[in-house]
Amino acid sequence: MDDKNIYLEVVGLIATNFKLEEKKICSHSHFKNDLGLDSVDIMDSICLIEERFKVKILLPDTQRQEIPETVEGLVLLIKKKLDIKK
Amino acid sequence: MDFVELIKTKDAATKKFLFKHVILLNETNAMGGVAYFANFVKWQGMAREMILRQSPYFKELIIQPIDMITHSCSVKFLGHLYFGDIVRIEVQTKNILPASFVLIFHYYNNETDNLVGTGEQRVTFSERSSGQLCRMPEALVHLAKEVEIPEK
Repeated sequence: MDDKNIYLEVVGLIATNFKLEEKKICSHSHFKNDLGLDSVDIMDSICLIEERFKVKILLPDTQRQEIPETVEGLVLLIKKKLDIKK
Repeated sequence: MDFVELIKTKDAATKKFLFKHVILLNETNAMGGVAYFANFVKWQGMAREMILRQSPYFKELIIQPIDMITHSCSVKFLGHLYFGDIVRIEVQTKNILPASFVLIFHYYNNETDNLVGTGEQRVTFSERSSGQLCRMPEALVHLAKEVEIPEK
Protein backbone atom coordinates (compact mmCIF):
# COMPACT_ATOMS: atom_id res chain seq x y z
CA MET A 1 0.00 0.00 0.00
CA ASP A 2 1.46 3.39 -0.96
CA ASP A 3 1.57 6.57 1.12
CA LYS A 4 -1.42 8.10 -0.66
CA ASN A 5 -3.70 5.16 0.05
CA ILE A 6 -2.54 5.00 3.65
CA TYR A 7 -3.20 8.73 3.95
CA LEU A 8 -6.73 8.40 2.53
CA GLU A 9 -7.52 5.52 4.87
CA VAL A 10 -6.24 7.44 7.90
CA VAL A 11 -8.20 10.56 7.00
CA GLY A 12 -11.38 8.55 6.40
CA LEU A 13 -11.00 6.70 9.66
CA ILE A 14 -10.43 9.86 11.72
CA ALA A 15 -13.22 11.76 9.98
CA THR A 16 -15.75 8.97 10.47
CA ASN A 17 -15.02 8.20 14.09
CA PHE A 18 -14.64 11.76 15.34
CA LYS A 19 -17.28 13.36 13.13
CA LEU A 20 -14.88 15.64 11.28
CA GLU A 21 -15.11 16.80 7.69
CA GLU A 22 -12.53 15.03 5.54
CA LYS A 23 -11.78 18.23 3.65
CA LYS A 24 -10.66 19.89 6.88
CA ILE A 25 -7.98 17.25 7.42
CA CYS A 26 -4.66 17.55 5.63
CA SER A 27 -1.31 15.84 5.94
CA HIS A 28 0.05 18.57 8.20
CA SER A 29 -2.98 18.53 10.52
CA HIS A 30 -1.91 18.35 14.15
CA PHE A 31 -4.20 15.96 16.03
CA LYS A 32 -4.66 18.21 19.06
CA ASN A 33 -4.14 21.73 17.75
CA ASP A 34 -5.85 21.46 14.36
CA LEU A 35 -8.34 18.60 14.71
CA GLY A 36 -9.21 19.10 18.38
CA LEU A 37 -8.52 15.48 19.29
CA ASP A 38 -7.48 14.75 22.85
CA SER A 39 -5.28 11.94 24.15
CA VAL A 40 -8.23 9.51 24.35
CA ASP A 41 -9.29 10.28 20.77
CA ILE A 42 -5.71 9.70 19.64
CA MET A 43 -5.56 6.41 21.56
CA ASP A 44 -8.80 5.30 19.89
CA SER A 45 -7.40 6.30 16.48
CA ILE A 46 -4.20 4.34 17.02
CA CYS A 47 -6.18 1.25 18.04
CA LEU A 48 -8.43 1.57 14.98
CA ILE A 49 -5.37 1.93 12.77
CA GLU A 50 -3.80 -1.15 14.32
CA GLU A 51 -6.97 -3.08 13.47
CA ARG A 52 -7.28 -1.66 9.97
CA PHE A 53 -3.65 -2.13 8.89
CA LYS A 54 -2.91 -5.18 11.05
CA VAL A 55 0.19 -3.52 12.50
CA LYS A 56 1.34 -3.10 16.08
CA ILE A 57 1.89 0.52 17.05
CA LEU A 58 1.29 0.34 20.78
CA LEU A 59 4.14 -1.54 22.39
CA PRO A 60 4.41 -2.62 26.03
CA ASP A 61 4.82 0.47 28.18
CA THR A 62 8.55 -0.04 28.76
CA GLN A 63 9.13 0.27 25.02
CA ARG A 64 6.27 2.56 24.18
CA GLN A 65 7.23 4.89 21.41
CA GLU A 66 6.20 8.43 20.80
CA ILE A 67 2.81 8.61 19.12
CA PRO A 68 3.01 10.93 16.08
CA GLU A 69 1.34 14.31 16.53
CA THR A 70 0.34 14.87 12.91
CA VAL A 71 -1.48 12.95 10.19
CA GLU A 72 1.71 12.88 8.14
CA GLY A 73 3.69 11.47 11.04
CA LEU A 74 1.14 8.74 11.52
CA VAL A 75 1.09 7.86 7.82
CA LEU A 76 4.89 7.56 7.82
CA LEU A 77 4.79 5.36 10.92
CA ILE A 78 2.17 3.05 9.36
CA LYS A 79 4.24 2.85 6.16
CA LYS A 80 7.33 1.94 8.20
CA LYS A 81 5.40 -0.76 10.08
CA LEU A 82 3.98 -2.17 6.85
CA ASP A 83 7.44 -2.22 5.27
CA ILE A 84 8.83 -4.13 8.24
CA LYS A 85 6.04 -6.71 7.84
CA LYS A 86 6.98 -7.40 4.20
CA MET B 1 -32.36 -1.39 48.00
CA ASP B 2 -30.75 -0.41 44.71
CA PHE B 3 -30.95 -2.84 41.87
CA VAL B 4 -30.23 -3.06 38.18
CA GLU B 5 -31.76 -5.10 35.38
CA LEU B 6 -31.34 -5.49 31.63
CA ILE B 7 -34.50 -4.94 29.58
CA LYS B 8 -35.50 -4.62 25.95
CA THR B 9 -36.69 -1.26 24.68
CA LYS B 10 -40.20 -0.85 23.28
CA ASP B 11 -39.09 -1.35 19.69
CA ALA B 12 -36.88 -4.27 20.81
CA ALA B 13 -34.15 -2.95 18.50
CA THR B 14 -31.87 -2.49 21.43
CA LYS B 15 -31.66 -3.05 25.15
CA LYS B 16 -30.95 -0.88 28.14
CA PHE B 17 -30.02 -1.26 31.76
CA LEU B 18 -32.40 0.02 34.42
CA PHE B 19 -31.01 1.20 37.73
CA LYS B 20 -33.45 2.08 40.50
CA HIS B 21 -32.54 4.00 43.62
CA VAL B 22 -34.59 5.30 46.56
CA ILE B 23 -33.69 8.91 47.32
CA LEU B 24 -32.62 9.28 50.91
CA LEU B 25 -32.72 12.36 53.11
CA ASN B 26 -28.96 12.78 52.96
CA GLU B 27 -29.26 13.25 49.19
CA THR B 28 -31.56 16.25 49.46
CA ASN B 29 -30.76 19.90 50.05
CA ALA B 30 -31.75 22.12 52.94
CA MET B 31 -34.37 24.00 50.96
CA GLY B 32 -37.23 21.56 50.93
CA GLY B 33 -36.11 18.05 50.34
CA VAL B 34 -35.18 18.39 46.67
CA ALA B 35 -32.49 15.98 45.52
CA TYR B 36 -29.20 17.89 45.42
CA PHE B 37 -27.81 18.30 41.90
CA ALA B 38 -24.47 16.61 42.60
CA ASN B 39 -26.30 13.36 43.31
CA PHE B 40 -27.31 13.12 39.66
CA VAL B 41 -23.61 12.62 38.92
CA LYS B 42 -23.17 10.29 41.89
CA TRP B 43 -26.04 8.13 40.62
CA GLN B 44 -24.31 7.80 37.23
CA GLY B 45 -21.39 6.26 39.09
CA MET B 46 -23.66 4.03 41.17
CA ALA B 47 -25.56 2.87 38.08
CA ARG B 48 -22.44 1.89 36.16
CA GLU B 49 -20.97 0.12 39.18
CA MET B 50 -24.17 -1.85 39.72
CA ILE B 51 -24.22 -2.78 36.03
CA LEU B 52 -20.67 -4.08 36.34
CA ARG B 53 -21.40 -5.79 39.65
CA GLN B 54 -24.34 -7.73 38.26
CA SER B 55 -22.75 -8.61 34.93
CA PRO B 56 -21.35 -12.08 34.27
CA TYR B 57 -18.00 -10.39 33.57
CA PHE B 58 -17.62 -8.79 37.01
CA LYS B 59 -15.02 -11.16 38.46
CA GLU B 60 -13.08 -11.21 35.20
CA LEU B 61 -13.02 -7.43 35.07
CA ILE B 62 -11.96 -6.63 38.62
CA ILE B 63 -8.84 -8.80 38.50
CA GLN B 64 -7.49 -7.03 35.43
CA PRO B 65 -4.76 -4.47 36.14
CA ILE B 66 -6.70 -1.83 34.25
CA ASP B 67 -8.40 1.25 35.63
CA MET B 68 -11.54 2.79 34.21
CA ILE B 69 -11.24 6.57 33.92
CA THR B 70 -14.15 8.97 33.59
CA HIS B 71 -13.00 11.23 30.77
CA SER B 72 -15.99 13.58 30.97
CA CYS B 73 -19.54 13.64 32.28
CA SER B 74 -22.55 15.89 32.14
CA VAL B 75 -26.05 16.19 33.53
CA LYS B 76 -29.02 18.19 32.32
CA PHE B 77 -31.66 19.01 34.92
CA LEU B 78 -35.27 18.66 33.78
CA GLY B 79 -37.26 18.23 36.98
CA HIS B 80 -37.14 17.78 40.74
CA LEU B 81 -36.90 14.60 42.75
CA TYR B 82 -37.67 14.43 46.45
CA PHE B 83 -36.90 12.38 49.53
CA GLY B 84 -38.55 8.98 49.17
CA ASP B 85 -38.88 9.12 45.38
CA ILE B 86 -37.46 6.27 43.35
CA VAL B 87 -35.24 7.48 40.55
CA ARG B 88 -35.12 5.11 37.59
CA ILE B 89 -32.03 5.58 35.48
CA GLU B 90 -32.00 4.02 32.04
CA VAL B 91 -28.50 3.40 30.74
CA GLN B 92 -27.39 2.81 27.17
CA THR B 93 -24.12 3.24 25.29
CA LYS B 94 -22.87 4.80 22.07
CA ASN B 95 -19.57 5.58 20.29
CA ILE B 96 -17.98 2.30 21.33
CA LEU B 97 -14.37 2.61 20.20
CA PRO B 98 -11.36 0.43 21.08
CA ALA B 99 -10.29 2.57 24.04
CA SER B 100 -13.42 4.45 25.08
CA PHE B 101 -17.19 4.52 24.98
CA VAL B 102 -20.03 6.81 25.98
CA LEU B 103 -22.72 5.99 28.54
CA ILE B 104 -26.10 7.69 28.08
CA PHE B 105 -28.35 8.23 31.12
CA HIS B 106 -32.05 9.07 31.27
CA TYR B 107 -33.39 9.81 34.76
CA TYR B 108 -37.10 9.20 35.44
CA ASN B 109 -39.30 9.59 38.47
CA ASN B 110 -40.29 5.94 38.65
CA GLU B 111 -43.79 6.66 39.95
CA THR B 112 -44.82 9.41 37.51
CA ASP B 113 -42.60 8.31 34.60
CA ASN B 114 -41.56 11.94 34.15
CA LEU B 115 -38.13 12.46 32.62
CA VAL B 116 -36.27 14.48 35.24
CA GLY B 117 -32.79 14.55 33.77
CA THR B 118 -30.41 13.34 31.12
CA GLY B 119 -26.69 12.84 31.18
CA GLU B 120 -23.75 11.23 29.56
CA GLN B 121 -20.21 10.28 30.32
CA ARG B 122 -17.26 9.05 28.29
CA VAL B 123 -15.02 6.50 29.91
CA THR B 124 -11.59 5.30 28.94
CA PHE B 125 -8.99 2.92 30.36
CA SER B 126 -5.41 2.95 31.61
CA GLU B 127 -2.87 0.38 32.65
CA ARG B 128 -2.55 0.40 36.43
CA SER B 129 1.23 -0.10 36.37
CA SER B 130 2.13 2.69 33.96
CA GLY B 131 -0.92 4.94 33.86
CA GLN B 132 -0.81 4.72 30.05
CA LEU B 133 -4.09 4.72 28.17
CA CYS B 134 -4.94 1.27 26.86
CA ARG B 135 -7.62 -0.74 25.07
CA MET B 136 -10.96 -1.46 26.71
CA PRO B 137 -11.13 -4.95 28.26
CA GLU B 138 -12.87 -7.37 25.90
CA ALA B 139 -15.50 -8.30 28.50
CA LEU B 140 -16.51 -4.67 28.81
CA VAL B 141 -16.84 -4.36 25.04
CA HIS B 142 -19.41 -7.19 25.16
CA LEU B 143 -21.26 -5.55 28.03
CA ALA B 144 -21.30 -2.11 26.36
CA LYS B 145 -22.49 -3.58 23.03
CA GLU B 146 -25.48 -5.22 24.74
CA VAL B 147 -27.06 -1.81 25.22
CA GLU B 148 -25.56 0.14 22.33
CA ILE B 149 -27.86 2.67 20.67
CA PRO B 150 -27.86 1.94 16.93
CA GLU B 151 -26.49 4.73 14.74
CA LYS B 152 -29.21 6.45 12.72
